[in-house]
Parts: sequence; structure tokens; C-alpha cells
Amino acid sequence: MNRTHWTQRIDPRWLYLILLALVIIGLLVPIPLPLIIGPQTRALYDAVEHAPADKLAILCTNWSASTQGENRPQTEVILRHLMRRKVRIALMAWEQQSTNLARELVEELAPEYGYVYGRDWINWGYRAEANGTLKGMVLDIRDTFKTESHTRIALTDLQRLPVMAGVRNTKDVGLIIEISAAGTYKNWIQFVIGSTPAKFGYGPTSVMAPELYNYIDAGQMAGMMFGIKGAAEYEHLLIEDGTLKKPGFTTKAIAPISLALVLLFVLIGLGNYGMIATRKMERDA
Amino acid sequence: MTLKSLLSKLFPPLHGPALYAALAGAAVLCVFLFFALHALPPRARKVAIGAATFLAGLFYALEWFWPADSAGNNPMTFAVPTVGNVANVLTAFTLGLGVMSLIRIHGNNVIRQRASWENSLVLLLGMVTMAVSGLFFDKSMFFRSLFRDVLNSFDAAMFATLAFYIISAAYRAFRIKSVEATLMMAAALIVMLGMIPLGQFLTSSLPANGSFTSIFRLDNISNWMLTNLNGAAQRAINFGLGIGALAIALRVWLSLERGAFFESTPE
Repeated sequence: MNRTHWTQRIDPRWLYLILLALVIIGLLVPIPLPLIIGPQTRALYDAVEHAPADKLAILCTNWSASTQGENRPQTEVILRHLMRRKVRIALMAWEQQSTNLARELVEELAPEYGYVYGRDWINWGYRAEANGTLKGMVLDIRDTFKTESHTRIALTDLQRLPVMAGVRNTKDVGLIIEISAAGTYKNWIQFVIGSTPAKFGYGPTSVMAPELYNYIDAGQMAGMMFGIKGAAEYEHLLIEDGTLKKPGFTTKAIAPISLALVLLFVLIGLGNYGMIATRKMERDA
Repeated sequence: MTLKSLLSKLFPPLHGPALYAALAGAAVLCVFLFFALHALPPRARKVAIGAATFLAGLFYALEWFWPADSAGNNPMTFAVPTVGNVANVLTAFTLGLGVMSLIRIHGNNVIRQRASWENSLVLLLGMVTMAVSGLFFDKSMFFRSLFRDVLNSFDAAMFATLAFYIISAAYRAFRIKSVEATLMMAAALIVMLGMIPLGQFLTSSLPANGSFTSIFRLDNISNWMLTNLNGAAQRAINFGLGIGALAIALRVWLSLERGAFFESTPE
């Protein structure tokens, strides 16, 4: 005789099916939910909004396709905000895939904002080792990267790369943002932040975000986007300031996440109820 | 004469054929050094590698602790970007080591037709196809399709399956069997509810701030817990990690780490 409560014997494939159904429903059916802008997202928005427009902003990426569900929308909202403000952008990456993924995203958005490669944005490319690169950037960005990554033009060639005008080291940078699925924020804080007046903002995945509250509290990080939820909040701020006309996929993605989390709560409750009920059955037997 | 000017004099910038000749010479020297290191007895090899490790670490230590002038530079500072580039090149070599290891293990699987050798063959073919198309045809539609449509999709799909495992784990494993587990679950519920719009909706009628009742809003409670409770715990963890990392760094720098540098090799 099976002495476990029925709630303990649910085939997990039913749970997978329910999750899949909820995600599809959440994506297809518009659910009007309030989105409260968190203080960390607003602080990041303010840092980008008040970054000096005449200085270069570094956008470092450290994500691959596996976390693009969260990191791509984060990268997109930051790019849109910088491009709307006509801030020059330098891309760099600690992850091989993100070099291409971020470049493709900029190339997709550039025509909309009239951004031209070499004049308004540049790609410094991928670097395998963060500490040595960042220490080098504090002293001399041109000497550290030598060339841009598309056609290998020397960073000292200001005729062809006017975007690099006035940029010698990190002191000449107006803003540093990293969108990442790994803990490279520590490298930036150890080696760069403090040596430059530039504010430092972050876009981590949701599971990473709790690690960053210390650094925001200490003022070493200006703000952050809490995973895709943070990206959706940022998207709302961009709608408020007129950068975007209507919510995009990022905001739409919040509904399935909400529904999936509700399912998670229900299943935790069900699992625990089943455990208690089984114990009772065993005692009564 | 400063160290910088001395080095600039000894190694002036090269261009054209001289640069390629120097590169070829460096490659030959590296191969010679590799075989020379290999030919050394284990004890001498350990000393050589220990000395190289110590000197490499010493550069950054000296650069950091050496008093700087008013501009913030010391005699080592000028070399930091170059040493950073050397570090990048060395780190990139680990990619080559990974490729060598994959070819050796999976190549053996295929040649000896071990269990699931077909998977090894697919892996090797995939690696070669991706590498060749990326190196020589990176502007082609073929590479873009492989990268965007195949690799990216597989990568994203693999990660997305985590959601199903989390749901299954929540149902099967998250049991409230102790006070600690109950506290953890309560904290998790509050934080998650405070983070999602559905949860925020529950207390959205309360004022956001400036009122006593605002502290009962789920998003405010969630934010307070993340900033204060989670922040304190993270600081403690980071403090422990920092001390541990310092100890490990010293052991590696001074080659005291057990098992390092061929210690297991019979002398």
C-alpha cells in the first residue's frame, strides 16, 4: 500500500506542462499589472541621464546567449538611453559570444538614432583577462586595446576614429556600465572605480543581483537593473522620458515571470502540505 | 636613464619585415624554452616555474606598493598596459589547452569507438566547423547562421530548461523541516512577492513613502530585506572570501600550494 499523500505523487511532467502553459498564456494574453520602479533602477537611470554628453561611455558586456533573456533587454535599454542622449559609446566584452551579440544589437539600433561607427560608437572587442586589461585602461586605453575590433584601425587614428578624441584613460570616460552574467563587477570596483569620476552602473542577471546591494549602499555602484524586471522598469522610465513610445517585449515578459513565480509558491505550498499530510497518514496507520 | 627609456632603447618599436622576423624569432625561442623546460629534472623545473610565478606576481605587487610621484606613477607604471596585454595572451593560451584536451579525449573516444563515440564525433565536427567558419568566413551567411540560429538557440534553450528544474525542485525539495528553513522560505516569499508586479499589486494601495503605512508595502519590505539583511550577510561572506583569497594568492605566488608544479611527479 502506498502511504504517501496524492500531492506527493504528481508526475513532474504535469508541472512542466503547467509552467509551459503559463508562460505561453503570459506572453500571449496582456495582463495589466502595475510595475513599481525600484530605487536601484531609478538610480541607474539617473546616472545615465546625467552622464556628461561630451564624454565617452563604456558599455562592457559579459553575457552569452544562455542569459540573453535577461541581459539583452538590459543592454538594449541602456543603448537606447545613451543613443537618445547622443553619448559616444565604446563596447568591450569579457565573453566571446557577447562581443558579437552586443555588436549586432548596436548595429540594429544605430540607424534609428543616426549612430555611425567610428564617429559615435566603437568596439574595443573581447579581452580574455580582466584584471590586467582594467589596470591598463586606468593608465592608457589606447595602449591597452591598440586597435578597434572591426577593421583593426589603430585607436590613435583620430581621423578615422573621432569617437576616441580626448580619450586617453578611464579619467576621460563619463560613464561605465557593465551588463553581465558573471561577477566581473568586482574587477571594475577593485581597479577602476575610484580612479575615475565616471559613475558605474550594472545590469546583472536576477540570481546575481542580491550580491550587488552592498556596493550600491557603499556608493561604489550608482545603480543597477535587477534582471529582466529591472530592464522592464528601465523601459518604463524610457517611455516616461519619450525615448520609447510604447512598452516592448521586456515589459511583456514580466507577466509570464509573475505567473511562473506564483506557480512556484503554489508548488512549494503543495509539496509541504503533502509532506505534512503524509506524516499524518503514517501516524494514523 | 629611467627603466622606461632603457627598455625603449633595447626594444625599439618594429615595423614591416623586422616585426615579422622578431615574431618568428620569439616563436622559435618559445619552442626552445618549452623543450628546455621539459628536459629539466623535476626539481629544477619546479624551481624555474616557481621563480617565473614569483617574478610575475612581484610586478603587480611592486607596482602597487612602490611610492608614486605627484602624477600617480612610479618606475613600474609605464609597463602596466603591456603586462596586461601579456596576461591576456597567456589567458588566451588556456583556450588552446582546452581545445587540445577536447581533441585528445574525444578523438580517442572516436578512434577506439568507446561508448557514445558518436557524440564525441558530433562534438569534434561541430568544433571544427565553427572554428573554420569563424576564422575564415566570419562575414558569410553560413557562419552567421551557425552562430545566431544554431549556437545561440541551443545555448538559450539549455539555460531555459533550468526553469523546469526549478519548478520540480520547488515541489520536491523545498521542505519546511526546521526553523531555519521556515525563515528562509518566509524571506524568499516576501522578497519574491515584493519583486513581481503581481505581488506589488497586493499592497499597491498603500502610500509608496512618507507615511507609517508605507513600510508595509511588499516592495518596500523586499527592498529593505535585500539592502539590509542580505547586504549584511553578503558583506560577511565577502569578508571571509577576501581573507581566503589573500591566503590562496600568497600560497600560489610563493609556490606553497600543495600539488602545484609537478609535486606529484616522482623525483
